[in-house]
Amino acid sequence: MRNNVRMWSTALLACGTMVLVGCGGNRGGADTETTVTLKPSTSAGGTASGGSGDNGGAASVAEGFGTFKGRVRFQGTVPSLAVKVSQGAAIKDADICAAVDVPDESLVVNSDGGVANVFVYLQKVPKGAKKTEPSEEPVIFDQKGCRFIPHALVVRVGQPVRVVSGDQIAHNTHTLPTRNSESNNIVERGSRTGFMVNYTKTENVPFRVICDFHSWMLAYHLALDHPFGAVTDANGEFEIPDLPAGEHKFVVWHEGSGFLTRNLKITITADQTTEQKIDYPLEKFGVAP
Amino acid sequence: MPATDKFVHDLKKVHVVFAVSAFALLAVTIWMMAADHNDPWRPIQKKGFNLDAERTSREIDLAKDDEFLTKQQQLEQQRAAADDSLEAIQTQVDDLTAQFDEADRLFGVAEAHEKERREYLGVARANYDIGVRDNLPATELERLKQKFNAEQDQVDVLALQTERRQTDRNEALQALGDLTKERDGFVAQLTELQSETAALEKSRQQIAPTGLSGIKRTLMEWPIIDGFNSHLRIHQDWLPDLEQVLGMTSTARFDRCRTCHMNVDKIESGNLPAYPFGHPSSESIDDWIDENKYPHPYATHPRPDLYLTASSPHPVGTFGCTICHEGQGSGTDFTNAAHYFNDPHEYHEWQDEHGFKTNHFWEYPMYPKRFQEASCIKCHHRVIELATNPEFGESAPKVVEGYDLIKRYGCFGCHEINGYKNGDPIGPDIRLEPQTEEQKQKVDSDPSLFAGEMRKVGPSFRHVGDKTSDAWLQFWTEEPMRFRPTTRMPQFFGLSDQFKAHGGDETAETFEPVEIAGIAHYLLDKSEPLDLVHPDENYEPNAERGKELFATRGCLGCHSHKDFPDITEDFGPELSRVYAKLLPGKAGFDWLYTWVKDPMRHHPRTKMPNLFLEPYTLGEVHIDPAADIAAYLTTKDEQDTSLEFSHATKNTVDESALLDLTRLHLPLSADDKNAVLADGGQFPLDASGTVKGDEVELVFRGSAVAGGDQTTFKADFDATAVGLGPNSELAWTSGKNRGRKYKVASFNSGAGSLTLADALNEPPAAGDTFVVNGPITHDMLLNYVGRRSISRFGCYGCHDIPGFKEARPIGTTLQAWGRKETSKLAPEHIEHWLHHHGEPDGSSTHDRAQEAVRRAEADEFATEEDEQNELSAAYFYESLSHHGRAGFLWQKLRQPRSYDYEKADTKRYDERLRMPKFPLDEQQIEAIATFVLGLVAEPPSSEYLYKPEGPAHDRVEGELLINKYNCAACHILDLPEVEYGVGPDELVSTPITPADHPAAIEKLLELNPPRSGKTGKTIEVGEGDDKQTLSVINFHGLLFQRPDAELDLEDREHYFDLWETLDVDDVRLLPGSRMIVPEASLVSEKPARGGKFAEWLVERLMKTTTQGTRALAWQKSPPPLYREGVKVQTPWLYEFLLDPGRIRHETVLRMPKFNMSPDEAKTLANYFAAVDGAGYPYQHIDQREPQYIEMKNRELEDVLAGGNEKYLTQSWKTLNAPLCIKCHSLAGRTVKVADPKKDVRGPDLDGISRRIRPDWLLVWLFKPQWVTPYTSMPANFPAGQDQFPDLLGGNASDQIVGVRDALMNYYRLIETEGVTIYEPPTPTAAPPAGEE
Repeated sequence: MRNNVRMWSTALLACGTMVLVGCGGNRGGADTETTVTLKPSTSAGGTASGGSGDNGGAASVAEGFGTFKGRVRFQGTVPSLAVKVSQGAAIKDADICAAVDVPDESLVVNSDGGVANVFVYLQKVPKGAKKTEPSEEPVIFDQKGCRFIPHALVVRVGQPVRVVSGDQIAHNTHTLPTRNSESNNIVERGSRTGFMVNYTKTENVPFRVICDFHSWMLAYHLALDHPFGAVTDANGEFEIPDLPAGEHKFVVWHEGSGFLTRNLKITITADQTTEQKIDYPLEKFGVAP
Repeated sequence: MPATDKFVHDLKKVHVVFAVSAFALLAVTIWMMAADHNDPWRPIQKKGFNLDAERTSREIDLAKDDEFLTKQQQLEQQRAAADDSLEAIQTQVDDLTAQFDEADRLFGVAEAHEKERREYLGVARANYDIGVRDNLPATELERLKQKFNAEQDQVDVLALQTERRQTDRNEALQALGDLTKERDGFVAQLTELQSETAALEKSRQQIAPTGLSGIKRTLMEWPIIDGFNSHLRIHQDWLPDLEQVLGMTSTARFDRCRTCHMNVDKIESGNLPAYPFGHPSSESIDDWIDENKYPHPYATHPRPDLYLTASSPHPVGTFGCTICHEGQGSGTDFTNAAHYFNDPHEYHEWQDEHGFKTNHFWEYPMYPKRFQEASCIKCHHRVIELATNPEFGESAPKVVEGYDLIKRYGCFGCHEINGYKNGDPIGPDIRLEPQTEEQKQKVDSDPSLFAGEMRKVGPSFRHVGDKTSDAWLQFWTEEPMRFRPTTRMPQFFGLSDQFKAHGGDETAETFEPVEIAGIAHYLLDKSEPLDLVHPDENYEPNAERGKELFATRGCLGCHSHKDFPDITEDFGPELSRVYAKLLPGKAGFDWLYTWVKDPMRHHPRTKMPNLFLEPYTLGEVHIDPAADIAAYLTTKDEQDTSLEFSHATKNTVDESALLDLTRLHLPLSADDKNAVLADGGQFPLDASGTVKGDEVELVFRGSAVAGGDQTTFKADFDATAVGLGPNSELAWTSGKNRGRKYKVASFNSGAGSLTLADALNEPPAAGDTFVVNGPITHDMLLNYVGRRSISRFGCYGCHDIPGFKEARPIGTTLQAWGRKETSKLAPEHIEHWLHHHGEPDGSSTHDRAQEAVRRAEADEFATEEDEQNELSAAYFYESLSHHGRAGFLWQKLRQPRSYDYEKADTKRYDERLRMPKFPLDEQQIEAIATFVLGLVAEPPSSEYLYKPEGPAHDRVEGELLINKYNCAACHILDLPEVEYGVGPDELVSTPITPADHPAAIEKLLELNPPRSGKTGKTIEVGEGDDKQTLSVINFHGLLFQRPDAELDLEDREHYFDLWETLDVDDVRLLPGSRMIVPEASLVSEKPARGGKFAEWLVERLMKTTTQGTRALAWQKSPPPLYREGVKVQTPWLYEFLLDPGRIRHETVLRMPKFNMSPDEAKTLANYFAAVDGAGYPYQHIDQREPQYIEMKNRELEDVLAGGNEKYLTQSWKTLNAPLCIKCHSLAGRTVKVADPKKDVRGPDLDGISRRIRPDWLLVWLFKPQWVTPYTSMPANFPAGQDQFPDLLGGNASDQIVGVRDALMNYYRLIETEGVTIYEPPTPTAAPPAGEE
């Protein structure tokens, strides 16, 4: 009952500010804690369409292109996570893997609440988007101190990922995508040429990349057949340019418990930057308080 | 008056008589011929021909479509035009034609001339050869040689001339051809265009000719004339090797069925029936063709791949019809052929339609459709091949179900099905295995005897006293289903409805409790103590952990439990309430602990395997899984109050009923019975002192402790109580002195030992037994009644019971029951019973049958299934009322004691029927009936028996064992098959990445040859403008992920991992490819054969252990046995099956040790190789041969460290580089596992050389994902990486082969190279200019 009241009040608040977060996408109570604040300067021109009959990410499309910029923040006290491998632990390849503490990257929050490694993306190419070819330049996916770098990565379908290693031991880099075939190859010690992973199909959600040799090593990749996806940086910030004007439904996803918001409705205005802060409470990140 | 001619021969009269009789004779002759001509099959054949002609006409019409006609017209016009233009230059054409004719003539002349001269040349050659043979003088030979040369010269000249003439002719032809080329081209095109229709027209002309031929054909149908090779005639299949039994002799079989069923073997392209059977809407053949449904007898036989066609295993010319269908093959009308209806409703239809009557003069009418599969087992004695066959699939499910049920419920414990007669196979063989060593030796020593193969299906009672109580045994025996509804144990007691129908059954009510008490008493009295094992004294079992272990350690592969409702496995008993049955407290726990830990301790022939539930330590915690599981299962479910049973309630036995029952059973005169049953009465030993039969329970027994002159004995009783003293008599029951009586010299009652007075000519041996009579006690009476009851009901057919090792099955044998003379069945008053009662609710079966037929005729059934069930009952009822075998069997299984209806007056209690009631439904009964009716013990001549050889044989035998040991509970044997629609260009060949080794593909294709995924089917998806037709493909693979339920329907996709190499047109998908199957285009998903438990466990582990990662969950579960045959070495598999060691460290459970014989292990090991077409039973490992190693040494000479090291040394180093050791223990080094819950650990590598086949290993090392898509094992030596530049030339491909060869030579290398830790040199050069 309490949840329901909250849900409705949240929804009303959101609708009232002409942002449709929570109007159609919320399922169950988990989403109800989401609060969204909006910079007044960028709200002008937002057309709240009914959201029905949409095709792909863009619910209604006007002329021109704009940018979606935002920041994912954490509400509450940041929990301290135990390190995954403590320095000097008696593990496999301890010389390299336990040379320093290996942190738990399942929740990375900076001093003022910005959450890193959150994926913000469209699941489908919006109507009216400019056709761009993915870069042929490989994205580097590195391994150092028995950690994957970066921890979260968005890549275009067709853009190669070069898996390399800075460690003087072998790693095996094992991708676990859903729509693409898996890749599970060794990277020889210290190889800066490594091997290539080619994603040929777009994915619906980010997927795990692991090393079967070192069970704590974990990263997330997301392959998209369009450029409208980003990962938050250390400050929790992200920017997605060149979005066709109109309403879009973004996915906000974090490894802790998956979808933070499944349908974040954002209206883009031509030649403007729509900015948004997205706040989530502790439970949404799948971390015990 | 003298007799005159006129008086004797009144000519006028004579003429009249003659005329009348002549007309009469003519009329009779005509009538006879008409009657003879009036065969019912003639109109059928005519209609058949009409149908054929009409179909051909339709095909012709279809072929002559607009396109055809336009094209034809166009060509004809073109030809006409060409003809016209030729006409314009007619003189030129004529000239050239004349030239050609002349040139052709001259060529012919020259050719003939040359040919003639060549004959002379041949003669000259032969003459010379004869001269050589006859050693003619040189001059003579020279002359002959000259002659030959002269002839040769002439021939050469003529040959030249012929050649010239031929050139002339060809030139003339060419000239003419140039002129008529255009016209000839059109003619050729026209002929080609018309070739199909011409062929069709030709065939129509044969069936339905027009013109003169048509008149001739009509004429040939006339009486008399039709005797001269008419097209209407009886079609006879002559089958001299398939004899049939007629009366008391057997004779060749000839089947005339195809006289009417003329299209049975007609197929069309794609091996499909040309006339598929169906129920068309009318009698008109036009409708039949329109609807493509054909009624009998015009339809084609189903499954042309399996039956009748020449390429099928049962071609009609060799098998005929009646060998499978029965019936009178020589009959040519509906009734005479002994057709048989499938249900009474059909019977009524046939009566109306064909004037059908059952043919009482033919002993074996056709099998009704419901029993059609019965005949398969005439030749298919192993039966299982009818359930699974790589080519034909599941071809006879019903008879296989019957066979399975008979094996499952242990029918053979009482009813032997002996598949051999005088050493020859006569049918399926389902008998108990030899029960004693003597029986086994007898079978082994006589080649004409074959041992039974079945184990008793029930548990052993040898140690039952350690397991449960007297109260439980009684409670259970009385009505097993009361405790466990899913039990296979039938009900023996409380089946008195047939007596109660007429005023109750006091006798049974009095005697049955005594019998039940007696059985329980006997079993407990004979129970031998079990050597129980116990957990550590201080161990505290944890039931909660036990539940988890019960779920994951494999118990649910065979058992079910209400805590795990998704598992419905019933190979073993349902275990939800097992706590109630075991002895209360520690005693029950200890028994269960012993049982789950070491089942064979309780019963040496049990099917329950040893699950290796050994104690282990996890972190700080010591775990004894067997104790935890026992604790879980013995924890009472307080919620369950439905069970009204207590071990403490001991039933009291009605003493007078016990005496009455004993009196009934005693094989003595009335006076003797009274004497025996009087107070202090004793059982009289006869003169020889032997006691046969169950009366042995009424005397006291002892046995010799040690043999020899100073024989001492141990009495199993209190000697004083029996009154045993000097001069008492002992009688031998076993040993060489069997049947003799001896006097006791002395006895020592304290020690219970005694000595004999007689000097024995044959001193007894240790273990010899004796009896002595004494006053009979209450316990002895109970034991006696119990033993009598066990004998009478044949309990030992399913259970190992002390004292019954030699006992024979009590029931009638079934191997020829399908031919049992119906006069020997005893229906007794069953018709009365079924008329007034018969149904479980007490209503009349007769009414049920009548109602079924009425509803069928009125078309009132709501569902097809309902109709089938009710008409099935009506069929059986009808059969029973005509004393049919099928009906008898049906009622016997439904209500086994109902044949005792109204028999109470003439049957003593112990003469009543004994058949128990099994928990079978009517469909199961029908399946059993199908199997039993097929047991005819009349195998056709031996070449017809299915006797596969080589791999096909091993496959059949292996399948039987797979069922026997329930291998498919844990292991997937055939992967799931998914069918779905793909659009054009949707599939893309699996890319070969730069990390792949091109050489590896070839090896992969050898081990996993590509299969075409095209099905030829299509599916329509989408609506409106988006509607499109997709072609359907199928593939085999495992589920990766189900669709996200939150997505819109059109976005939902299923994901699978492909396990096979799949070709779809030009696209080649390699194993490990991710298959994306949109929900909308998914056609079907056929589940895996086997592996239900594994799939369940994977889902569970994903939730509990692997954070949703399916691949890791699969690695912890029983692996699919996909292409196992090409993977493992057969001798290793043989040893592994007998004594399975731990291979995988990841799995949460282990392959258990089954109670399997070496022969069975061999068969099963061969099975897997046979299924995959791999060589077996032995494998030669080339990689161990000196020639191979030397070859590698030479091949890699340049790169082997300047020739200082040998190939294997470097290979060994590669294996011992810092790579394999990351996950595998090898060469004396143990893999480092810091967190056993998370760190992946592969199998130890010391056993690989004996376990894995070298080719498979190579592909595995190249790219493990191609072999097992879910594996964690990476491609360790990707092409293009240079991990160990100083080993094997730094070539990754050579390093893979090197690792494989090092593994194959593991034991040699550990001897020669020893423990080696190879560290690659630190790279000195700076890393290549990279991306940083």
